[in-house]
Amino acid sequence: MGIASLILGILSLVCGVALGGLGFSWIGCIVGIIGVILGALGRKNPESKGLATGGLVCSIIGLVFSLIFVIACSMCAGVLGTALRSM
Amino acid sequence: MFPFIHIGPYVIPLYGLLLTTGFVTASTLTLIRIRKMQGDVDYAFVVIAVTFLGAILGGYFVYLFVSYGISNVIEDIKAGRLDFLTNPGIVFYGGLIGGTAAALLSLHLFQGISLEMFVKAAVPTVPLGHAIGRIGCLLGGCCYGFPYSGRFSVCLKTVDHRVFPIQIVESLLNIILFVVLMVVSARIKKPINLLAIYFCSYASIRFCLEFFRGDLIRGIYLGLSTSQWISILLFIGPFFILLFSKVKKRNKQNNQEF
Repeated sequence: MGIASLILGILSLVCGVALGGLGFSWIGCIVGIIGVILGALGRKNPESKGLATGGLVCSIIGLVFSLIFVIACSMCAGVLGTALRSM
Repeated sequence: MFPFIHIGPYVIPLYGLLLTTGFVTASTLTLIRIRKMQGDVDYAFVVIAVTFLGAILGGYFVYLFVSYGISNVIEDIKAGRLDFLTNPGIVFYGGLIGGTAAALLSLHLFQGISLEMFVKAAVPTVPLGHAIGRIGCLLGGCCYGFPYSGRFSVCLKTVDHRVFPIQIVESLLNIILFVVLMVVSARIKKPINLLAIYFCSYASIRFCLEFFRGDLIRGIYLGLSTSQWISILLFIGPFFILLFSKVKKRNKQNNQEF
């Protein structure tokens, strides 16, 4: 679980920080949430606690950056849709 | 007002930034409170993550049904098109219902943290996160009030006239609700009632505030907006639960006296 969390955390960081503005933020968000769950559960195992903690931290940071773009894109699309319908 | 800030070559959307800040603030405060109550922080992380997922999906689906329309979604599915997926947006009520359902489900599945403890720690933090998120709405230019050009009116980039800053009013009321719930949570004997108190209070606030809204992203049925209908449903259920709990408590006291 620790290794899986770390991999998902790094993937989420890449999607959120580097590719957030390119529409990959949805993937970063979902991957980040799964990474947080696996990281938190992985911390229960003393052998993989370090890896799991690293995965948890990476997943949280990736999730936060992904969320910023997901929410912002949602609003832009919503406002644009409303504007088009009211025309 | 200010949808974006520019930091060097980066463009940061303030709506997303503030809503995420709201999520992070509420989650951090919940974790601090759980640690103070000597609960398992790792399981709390899991429950919060699942709640996030439920909140985002719930907010998205309610937005889809309200703005895009159920009939259009069904038509798209029948025709094998995925047009409805390219129409994203988030509604708070959908997020609240989806998040609550996901939290209850994960608490039942993982059982590393008690329902009472999580409700006691998390419920008061929701209005604080919501208050921060609403400021994001003001800066982003959505969820605005009716056309108004008097004192405190604001000019948004998404509308061509000045509007009433209903987002600030909702934000302030949410902060008051946060303080009240923090005080109540310290004294409440049955923490699950805190959820009912929050639902009843927020539903009442939202029902009244909807009359001052001026944005177009809302369905109107029988003179009331979708959010007002959800407010009525959200008020009735928890209100009767609270009433039933009070009556049960009184009956128990009466039986003990005899």
